[in-house]
Amino acid sequence: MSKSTSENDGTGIKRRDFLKIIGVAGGTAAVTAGCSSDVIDKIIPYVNPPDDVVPGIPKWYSSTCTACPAGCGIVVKNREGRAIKVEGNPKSPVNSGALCARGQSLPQELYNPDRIKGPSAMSGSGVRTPKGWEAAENMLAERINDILSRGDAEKIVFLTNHVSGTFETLIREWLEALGGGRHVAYEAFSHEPILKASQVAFGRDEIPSYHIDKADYLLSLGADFLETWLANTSYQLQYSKMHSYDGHTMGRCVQIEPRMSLTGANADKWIAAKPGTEGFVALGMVNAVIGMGLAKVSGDELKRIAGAVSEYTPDKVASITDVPSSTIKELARGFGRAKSSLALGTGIANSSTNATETQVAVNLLNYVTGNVGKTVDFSRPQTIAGVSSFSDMASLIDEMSSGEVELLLIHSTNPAFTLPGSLNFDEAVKKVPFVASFSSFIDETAVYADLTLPDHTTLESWDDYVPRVGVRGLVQPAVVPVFNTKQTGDVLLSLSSKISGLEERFAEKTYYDYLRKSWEQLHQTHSPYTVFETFWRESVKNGGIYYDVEPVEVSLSTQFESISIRPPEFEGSGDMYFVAYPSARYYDGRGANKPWLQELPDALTTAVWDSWVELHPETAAKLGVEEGDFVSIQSPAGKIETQVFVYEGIRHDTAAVGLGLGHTSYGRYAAGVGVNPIDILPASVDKSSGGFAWLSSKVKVTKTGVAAQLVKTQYSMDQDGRGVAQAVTVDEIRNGHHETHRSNGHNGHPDMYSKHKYEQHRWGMSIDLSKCVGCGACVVACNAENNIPFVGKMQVAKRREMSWIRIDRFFEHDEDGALDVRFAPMPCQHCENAPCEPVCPVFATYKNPEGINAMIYSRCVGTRYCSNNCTYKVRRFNWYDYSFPEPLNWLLNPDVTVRTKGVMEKCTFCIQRIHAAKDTAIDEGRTVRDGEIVPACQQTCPSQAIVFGDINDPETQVSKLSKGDRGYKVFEEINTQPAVTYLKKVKWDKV
Amino acid sequence: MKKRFKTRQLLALLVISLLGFYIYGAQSGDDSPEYPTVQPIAFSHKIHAGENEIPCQYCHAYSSKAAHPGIPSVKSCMGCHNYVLGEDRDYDYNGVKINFKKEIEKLKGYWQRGEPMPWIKFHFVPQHARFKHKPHIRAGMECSECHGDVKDMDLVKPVHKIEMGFCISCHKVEQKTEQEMVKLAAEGKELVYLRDCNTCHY
Repeated sequence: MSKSTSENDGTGIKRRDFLKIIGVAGGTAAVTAGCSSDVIDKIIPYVNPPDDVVPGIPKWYSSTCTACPAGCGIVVKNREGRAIKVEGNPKSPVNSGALCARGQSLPQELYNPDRIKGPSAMSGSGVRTPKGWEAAENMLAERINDILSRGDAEKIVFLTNHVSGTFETLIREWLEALGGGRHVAYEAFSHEPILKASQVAFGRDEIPSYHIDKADYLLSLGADFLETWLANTSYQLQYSKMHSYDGHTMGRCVQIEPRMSLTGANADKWIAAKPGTEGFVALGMVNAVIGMGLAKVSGDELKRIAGAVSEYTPDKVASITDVPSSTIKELARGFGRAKSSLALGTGIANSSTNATETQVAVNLLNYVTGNVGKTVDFSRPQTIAGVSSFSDMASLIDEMSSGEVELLLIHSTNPAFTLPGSLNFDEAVKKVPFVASFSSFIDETAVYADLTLPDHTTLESWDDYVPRVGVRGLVQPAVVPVFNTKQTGDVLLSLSSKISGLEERFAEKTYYDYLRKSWEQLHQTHSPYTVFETFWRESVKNGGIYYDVEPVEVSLSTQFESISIRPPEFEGSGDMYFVAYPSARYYDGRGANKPWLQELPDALTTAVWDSWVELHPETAAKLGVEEGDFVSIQSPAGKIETQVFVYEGIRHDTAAVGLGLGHTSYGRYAAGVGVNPIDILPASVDKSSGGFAWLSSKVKVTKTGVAAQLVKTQYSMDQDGRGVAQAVTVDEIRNGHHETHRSNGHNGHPDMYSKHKYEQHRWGMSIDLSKCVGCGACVVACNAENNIPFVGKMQVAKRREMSWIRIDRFFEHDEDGALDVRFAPMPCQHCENAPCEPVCPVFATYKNPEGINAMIYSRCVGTRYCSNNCTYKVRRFNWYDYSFPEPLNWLLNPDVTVRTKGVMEKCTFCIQRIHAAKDTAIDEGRTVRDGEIVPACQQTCPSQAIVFGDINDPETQVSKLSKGDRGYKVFEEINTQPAVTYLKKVKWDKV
Repeated sequence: MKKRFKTRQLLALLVISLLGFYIYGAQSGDDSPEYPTVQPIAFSHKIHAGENEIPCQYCHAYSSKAAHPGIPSVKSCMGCHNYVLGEDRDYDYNGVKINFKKEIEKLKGYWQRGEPMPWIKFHFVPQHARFKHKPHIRAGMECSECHGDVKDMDLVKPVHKIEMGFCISCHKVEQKTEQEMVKLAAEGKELVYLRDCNTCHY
């Protein structure tokens, strides 16, 4: 029997011949089955065609993203009435055309199969019964009339997320008209310490804007400004300008936090100070800056500050923080000497019970080094400062429990999920006699609603939003409502006609009219010399109004005399600090119902569809656990169990779990996935501001003995010296001491085959690793553009993920042992000598005349030889017909084929966009211009790391970048000659 | 002896499987299904495009703008047929006896009900191919080159089977030499590589 594996296996026919026969037969079957067309199709015309709609030509609507409070401008692509793609609005000063992964996922909110389809009321038996809008509104109006007749108007509470702009005005006016009631605007990430510290240090009740791009030296005390902090897309754009190598130099960035976040991973230096002691480091730096004579303030002020920080000598600080005094002095020297610097803080994850004091220390550091008014900008304060405080929320819960709230109206917020369990929101809300929810999803809070009045999602609404002074974004519907939903503004207006005494209060019948009316006032201030209609149309077209502001002078508050930072306080007897950090993918949990975000690998761990706890390798060894082992994490407030990820970027005494997962409700994609660390957080507060202290517990981590595969997309941490993500130091590049790439590849040996000839274009790409931060926005943008299915955790576990571009992540080490995290986005490399091409038995993949490694789905028979032979492992195989549950399929891009089972697929360089650009060019009688073709990944990249273009033309940007001395090709030595050139990451020898 | 027997067995298997494919092929037969002889309304291209000389793009208005040529909305039919009410006269429509007035009344019915006509699609490109009308119109092609003399047909039926071979019958690589193509490029015209599968299949 053992002989039967030989070439002639005794069947009388050679194996090769057998394969040939099977190949022919299989091919015949595929052709017969694939090309039959015996279905009679219908063509359905419009009855009454909409104006200006040409089927096949997209329309773009400007709007504003509401996935987080940053307020990025977006443009929504509408094809034949469906919103199929969201991109950043280039006109918005917040995000200048870029968009993060969460923003890219907006269509999955709109077309989410778990959306509430219409109003419903909870019956006595706990079943939701659908109602008509009229009946549902009558129900609520009756309640309100009843409450008003008893004179209990102040027992009405309107609980929302952060609203700023017209909707806030409407809520205020509406509640006033009722004769009482209060509006509580709750955000889990409210940044109260920053607000309070501005007040303490500068006497201003504001959260400033920051100009990272204007700084040469950036110090962040736990602010995850590349992930969720304030306006992350804006900051990522700025960081890319500040921290990318421009041919001569680049900025420096230092991150101080106990757990290396994605932001920390991109900094030049990560300092793991003892949890909650970052403020001491800042004060030590102020002390040292003054001591070194680098302070940019003088006279009395300098004396006052010097006096206030005199006791925080670097030596003393070192003993508190675990940061050596030499490091503190070094930081102070670098920071003080920089032409322009900026200190950011505090982040959510490291907000402890002393967060305000930490932030005051940051303010002092910025003030002493002359940054306030330059990189810290109080002329453009952020409106997130206007949200209700955590103590407001706590007292609301008290009132709810004691029966002082008669009616709770909840809009776009999920406190049952984001508040610590020890506050008992769930119990309190049950005591409220009537709860009405405007949520689009049955989330953890909406399950308690007696009445659900589902609002439109962002892409169906009219609204406006002010993220900061200088920007007022307009939200415009890009599609007609998918379900029987109604905008909450409209509900409030139509309710008022049913409430006694309010019938005449609002002249406007619709929220759209109300919105326009409020813009009439803006018209007076911003553009008084135009007709209103012109102003309105321009504003809608531009996605809002953007205006300049006068600079403001800010000086140290006269009341500022002394500062003393209390040490952070931790509850619990465990031996590990517990960090619950905001998720770049789910924000505070609201992103968890979008499968694109669930399947976007986490930047650092590459894990999908689950939670994990990060432990230092030595801690893990001590506990006897390794990756995938389940551990239990016990705090005074509770216990969670999750899998271990062994991570070098965390202190020995710290355990970290990401926020956003662990939903018990919120639809099929969110419910039951991962754990929610908020469940075990005590309700501690920052002593000064009263804001929630996220970092305030010590936990006990114990092994459970259960283990499973932690599902990730990349299991190796190391590049094993293969040089996928290469780096170079500033010194090396300046002195020419680094190896530059060989453009001919393969050490200049002759090739066996003649080269491809490119008559006109050869498309190529350059990816600058000194810009890429690994955020993953490109991955989601690519999913959206190219109809890439999500496959779920079980399939990813079998390495069957489908994304056409992935972010490779490697943990390297510097000479001093410091962790150096590298990211390399990896799309198809469109090799000149593509290994996939010659092995395809059916010629389904080949080099097209413009250098694209084309993949013809209709030819593919699914041998997977190409994927097997691909050097870069960027080909994806459809193991199943993946489903897009209705109405998720509505967001499919009609310009791209939806692939079926058994077909290989891969990056096409967005060939549909190439065709579209060429078409426009021919219409205009010219050839395509450089920069005219922008693939989805490049379009959305908030780091502007990707540049696409014609590498056959030496004058294009991509050609110039590719020929630069940082350029290299991945696995150049095997002579695949990719069309994608990477530019080496640049590092400082010493920070 | 044993060896030969196995070969024979395998050959038999092959014959059976080929037979299977043959039967399968015979069942699916010719790709074109049995089309009905009348559309929801007995619309005659012969009368509209032929006798009344209405240009194709008057109704198929998007052919020069987009991939899909578009078919007229019910409203645009009514634009004329508010006034053109049709004679009360019989007509031999593709072998079926129809009455002009009654057919136009059907149209009015659709309009009054606010309903679109479910036209039956005769020309189609398979889903794995992307055909665009716009570049063909831009290149100055006549509609009839692919669709035949529609102005002589009451019920339009494809005169050419729309499949890749038909596309290639015009788009032969030999039609343009490499030099010609480079020259075109120099004149500012983008190259259209019809020898590149990726032009239509993506």
